[in-house]
Amino acid sequence: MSDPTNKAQQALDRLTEKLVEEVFLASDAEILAEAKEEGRDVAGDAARSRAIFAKAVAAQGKRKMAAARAALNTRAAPTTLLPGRLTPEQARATLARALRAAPDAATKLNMAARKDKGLSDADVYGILEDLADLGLLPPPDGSEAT
Amino acid sequence: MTSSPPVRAIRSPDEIRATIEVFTDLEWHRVRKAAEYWARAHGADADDVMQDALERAVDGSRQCPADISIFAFLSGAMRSISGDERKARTRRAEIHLVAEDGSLVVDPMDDRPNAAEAAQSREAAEGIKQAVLGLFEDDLAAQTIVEGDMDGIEGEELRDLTGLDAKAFASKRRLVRRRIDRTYPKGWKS
Repeated sequence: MSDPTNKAQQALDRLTEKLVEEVFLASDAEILAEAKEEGRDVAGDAARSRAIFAKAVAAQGKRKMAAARAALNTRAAPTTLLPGRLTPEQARATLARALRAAPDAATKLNMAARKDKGLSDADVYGILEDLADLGLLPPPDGSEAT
Repeated sequence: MTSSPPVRAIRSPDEIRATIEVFTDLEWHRVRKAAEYWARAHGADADDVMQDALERAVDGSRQCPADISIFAFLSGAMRSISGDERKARTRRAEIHLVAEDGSLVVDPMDDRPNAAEAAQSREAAEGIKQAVLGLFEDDLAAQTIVEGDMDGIEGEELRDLTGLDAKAFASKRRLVRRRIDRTYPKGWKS
């Protein structure tokens, strides 16, 4: 965008626009005659331009690939289980895995919890929620989410 | 009842790419000439301007309405890219200075031309404009075309001002372009 206070530059831009427009409107014969007069190699110019286009397409391909890779990484990242979405059996299996994966956390739980004995379903969900808050829930193993 | 504005159809990037892929040698030659005009108008490099425009076309970052020719679309992109490049060149970079007390003084980047630069740039453009008009002192019809183009006067209205018929007007237009091309092969220079 040119400086809005530079009226002369805007006038020159409008003139350039017309010159360009004329290049696109001129007949093939005129363009060829002009190119010949200017000693230009139309085929050579075209080859150079196609090479530039190939570079532009390659650059776009690289950006697309990078975006796809980033999206894939995001999808592949382990997601945390939501305890409330597990069946009681899945919740107990998850708790067992969590305790195996984080033995330090296990030492902080009482004996009953560590052995998963005498825990009601509500207790299991409660502990899983606490572990989730601490970021200690294991990623889903593909069999637990409902 | 209010009606929503009609949705303007847009060419998809794949459609644009497919169209460009089958450009003939002459079509490429025209696109290159357009790139050269815009690059010269703003002191940029034609290959860079062309590549940037093509990248924006195929990655969809610049939309091409379906009712606009692909050439007009590419020309618009090249115009905007070359203009941006000129602006970038005139930006003053961030300046870091160490003051006497050892503290760092940062003068941030400023993308606005200062008053003196803006005035200089206006003066230079005005000089070029007058020089271009001066090229056609000997040909009133040609000068009217150039002046009309600069003022944004279009088609029939401009032709009427020249008093030429359609064929003579087209021929005069060619003469204008050729003379400008010969006089300014490397772009507008004052």
